[in-house]
Amino acid sequence: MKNGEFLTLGIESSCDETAASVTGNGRHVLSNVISSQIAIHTQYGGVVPEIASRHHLDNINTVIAQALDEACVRLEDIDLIGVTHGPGLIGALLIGVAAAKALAFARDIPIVGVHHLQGHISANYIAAPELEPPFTAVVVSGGNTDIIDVRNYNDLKLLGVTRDDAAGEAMDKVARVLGLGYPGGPKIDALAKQGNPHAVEFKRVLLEKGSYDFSFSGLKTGVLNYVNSQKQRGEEINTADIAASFQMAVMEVIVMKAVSAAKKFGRKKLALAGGVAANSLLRGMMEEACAKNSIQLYRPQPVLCTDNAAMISCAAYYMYKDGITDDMTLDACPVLDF
Amino acid sequence: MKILAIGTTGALASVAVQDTDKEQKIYYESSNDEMNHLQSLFPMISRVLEAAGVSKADIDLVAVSKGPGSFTGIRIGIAAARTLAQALSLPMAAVPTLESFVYADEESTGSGQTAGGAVRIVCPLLDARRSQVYAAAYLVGAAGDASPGYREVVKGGAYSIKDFMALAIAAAGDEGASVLRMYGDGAAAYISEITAAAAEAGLVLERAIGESAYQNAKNVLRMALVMAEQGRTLSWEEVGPDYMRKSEAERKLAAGQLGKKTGRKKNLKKEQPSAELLRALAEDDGVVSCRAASAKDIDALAALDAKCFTHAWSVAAFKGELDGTKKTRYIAAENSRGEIIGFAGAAYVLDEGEINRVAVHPLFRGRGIAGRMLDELIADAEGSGVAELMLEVREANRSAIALYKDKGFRVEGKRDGYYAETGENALLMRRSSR
Repeated sequence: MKNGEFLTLGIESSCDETAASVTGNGRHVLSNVISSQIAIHTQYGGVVPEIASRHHLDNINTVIAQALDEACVRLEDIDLIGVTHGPGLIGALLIGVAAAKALAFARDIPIVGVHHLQGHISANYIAAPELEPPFTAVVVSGGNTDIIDVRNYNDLKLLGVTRDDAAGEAMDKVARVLGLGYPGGPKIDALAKQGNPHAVEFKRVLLEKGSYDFSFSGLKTGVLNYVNSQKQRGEEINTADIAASFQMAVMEVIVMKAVSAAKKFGRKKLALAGGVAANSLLRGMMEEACAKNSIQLYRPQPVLCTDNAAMISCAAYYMYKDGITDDMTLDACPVLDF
Repeated sequence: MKILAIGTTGALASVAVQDTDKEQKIYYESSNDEMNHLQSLFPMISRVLEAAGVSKADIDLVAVSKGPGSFTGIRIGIAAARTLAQALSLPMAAVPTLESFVYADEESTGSGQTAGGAVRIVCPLLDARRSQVYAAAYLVGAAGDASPGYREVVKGGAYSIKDFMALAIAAAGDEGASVLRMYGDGAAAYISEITAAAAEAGLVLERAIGESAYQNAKNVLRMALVMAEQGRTLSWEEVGPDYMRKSEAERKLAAGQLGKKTGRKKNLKKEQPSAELLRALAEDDGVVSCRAASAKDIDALAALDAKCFTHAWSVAAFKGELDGTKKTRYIAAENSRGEIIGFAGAAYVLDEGEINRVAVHPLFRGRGIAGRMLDELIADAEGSGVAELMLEVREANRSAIALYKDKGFRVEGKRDGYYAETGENALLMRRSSR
């Protein structure tokens, strides 16, 4: 406790960001330290698990020390440790979990393992202090394209997932096909702004009627085939048009399914989360669709959309308030159900 | 001094605690399951501290085995120990895993002296797979050696088992030692090569047995005490892992400088089919079925391997793959007569797998047998939570490369001059089911 606030130290290391953050009463961010490995993985064209794990180990303790310093608190002031324990890269996750357990053990601090997705959704509580469940959440990132009905802080129902590639993953792959490099999402987003989103009408895969699931691998193959056939015909490829058309096809499906889920469950609020939530087209289209359907849209600022520990800290706080804690047998889980 | 030592670089995690002011006894616990280090470590620390009557607030020094060993294990140990030191503001001892084995010696034979007082070379060998070991050699028991009574005679590093044995034997000659004493899972994995080399050199070969043959927090604790006496303690900021090997991807980036590495060979041996095989072929009905291979197939696999590759794996090598000590999966393809005509095998480490060998009898190639075995292997890997599969293939082996691509592998990079005997390049390929 400090200044009457309950202090949670959050730790996140599920993919390529080593992060630690201190929040007061869950939503008040006192520090949010993120050590990104993007520059390192760029030279390999994607995240290399072994290298990611090595860098997490190199950085974890200084990131924790910095998060405490920037929040002007000491470890003995911390009331709760929250840590991402899955899903993610196992070698990466276990660095954060081992460090979190050591802190909790050394100082007899309660610990709680947080689902990465619940963390992403919780970024909205930080961004919008007035937001309370229930609402519909859409998590779009390199590893996820999920629609979730958030009934209460710790009562979340997964309505739909991707059956193959996540939206961010498909974007990374298409970026590679177009020679844009890694990470693909922001590059596609930037290039798409100069292109015509209706230049090529790539097929939208909606799956069965009423399903909130996604499938993007066909779309990815569609782009690949289109590029190859253009090349074979010797026609010039307009990468901006392809990026714009592809992105439009991805976002249209996400927006349509998200809004229909909100309507079906009678939710008046819709919250975006995950790295791709920073995508300008998705934000714009979602805003339009929500306005049309009288749904209030919540979008965290970009720094809270990417992997960070403030969101983990916030989620841990609300779990702890509901009496959820873990013990020293807490494990890292590469696959973790919601 | 109250010291907490953590060892997680081997198959089992262990914790040791000693209060040197109070008693000589080292309190100790080892996990009983392989590869659950993250789950078992802290409950173990808690129990061992309690047994030793040491409260965590009273600990004076945190010691950790810093590698080499399992990459994942090294990281769990360092992350846990370093964060404990950070949280409790304690100094640390970063103990080299290989050198800590010298401190096992006193336990297995008494006070650092071989029975009979012979000067000995202590060799800790940790299996790095594919005939590679992380190893070092220490001269123990030589007259006139100042404290701590031993010195390194083969520098710790990653070696092929063959190179390491040559260096250890040369060191024994230089130092007049007559005994080689082997520790670690590398000694178990390559025992036939080791035995042959020692016999040829006329050296007495001893093999540590039981718990002290493997990585062990008691040895970490003993060495940490010596390091503390010598003032070799560190702050948590100064402690890091010693993997002794770059990651696969880093090596790939630097592949140009890696000419002399030896590894798997996939050269087709040109051989006339035997009369027996021609007959088998004539009677072949084209029916091929795939099944999991097990230890009872070892001889058949080794025989087939010798038909497929110039540098065949030994029976001992197949034993090492199939005796259950490693997490491996081998698929065998059989004809309707029950003869094994192909196999494909992979080793899994957590969520990553490496396809070590794909072999199809020369007379049965071109029938899609390799593809079927790969499908089985991929399905098994995915079912076991192994999301990433890697392999290496000769750059010139176009049909194999095409097959792997068809099965979803992507070329990830190249290792120049990887195949030592021909100087051919290897392509690294990876398949991700994420």
